[in-house]
Amino acid sequence: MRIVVIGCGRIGAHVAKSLSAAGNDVCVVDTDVSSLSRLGDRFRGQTVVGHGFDQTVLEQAQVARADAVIVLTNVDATNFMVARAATELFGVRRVSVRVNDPEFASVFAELGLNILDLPDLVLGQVQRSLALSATAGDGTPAPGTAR
Amino acid sequence: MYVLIVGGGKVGFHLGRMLLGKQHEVTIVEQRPARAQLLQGLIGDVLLVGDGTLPSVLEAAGCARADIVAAVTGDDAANLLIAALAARHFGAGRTIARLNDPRNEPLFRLCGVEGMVSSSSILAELIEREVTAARVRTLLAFPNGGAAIVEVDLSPHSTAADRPVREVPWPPDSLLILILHRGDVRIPSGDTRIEAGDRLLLVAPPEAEPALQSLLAPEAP
Repeated sequence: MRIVVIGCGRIGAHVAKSLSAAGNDVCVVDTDVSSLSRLGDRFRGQTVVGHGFDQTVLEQAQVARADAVIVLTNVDATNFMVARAATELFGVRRVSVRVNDPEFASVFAELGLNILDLPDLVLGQVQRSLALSATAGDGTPAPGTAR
Repeated sequence: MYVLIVGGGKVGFHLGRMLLGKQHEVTIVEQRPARAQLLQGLIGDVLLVGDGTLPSVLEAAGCARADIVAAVTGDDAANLLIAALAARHFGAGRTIARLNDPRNEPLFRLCGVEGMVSSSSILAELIEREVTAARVRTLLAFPNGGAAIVEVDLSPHSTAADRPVREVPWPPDSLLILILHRGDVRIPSGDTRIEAGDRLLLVAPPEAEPALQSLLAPEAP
């Protein structure tokens, strides 16, 4: 699959490297060359420097023939604009957008975006880990232990 | 009318001051506290400090009851998001977005932004007008291309100089709408005399421009 990742912060780099290692044709876009160094020497995909909502940058990234665009910057307004550009200007069907501020989760969904709800993912993990520790710490002895 | 302005830079400030002067209700949302405080000192208690792309901030600013929402920050991504939220989430009356980079215009249009204002395009057009040699200058072209508002300075060599409007052989489909006579604005009637040096504003189709030029601003004989 050809996958274009917009935003090469820690999360973007992690996702790009993993998708590339799994055999996908990955292209990463970031405004900052030094951010792209997060991909490391072993990254075999393409990189483009520029704004993810800039039409010429998206052309360089060959977004029109991408199977998916994953938008992962830490600015919600930028993510919104990149997603609209990929959809409206290049007709990409599968566009996923990172949500940074929890306020945007429902609003982005309402505006027709496919969201990656980061705050909610973290919250879910926190809740699960609290539930686990609550079971462990509720005073019931673990099986097989003496009181 | 209630106008919500998001972005308290130069554009937001002057827009707000102008609207307040016309007795409209105005709120300006500005993210930088120091800038907001400065504006408050200049135009009064209409500032709301916050990130205007956030739905909660727009809600607190009364976005849903706004007749006009003007997204005029220096960031096109923010302006596009504010316009989308105002129109589709809050159902505000009318949305206007500032385009900082004119190259983003096609995307704004595809995203359904109604009103777009691009200061850099306007400036480029004004400068082009100043440097252009054309004697008939286009001030505003209507989108379908059928007509434009043009301006011409009436030459002393024109046969139309010092004649009443009704006696001038205007090209077909063109209409004189305004005369600027030594800085004064005159609404023309058939009896109004046009004089050399007057700046004339007309509505005319593009194909009438050569005829307007030879009628009103011919080469010196």
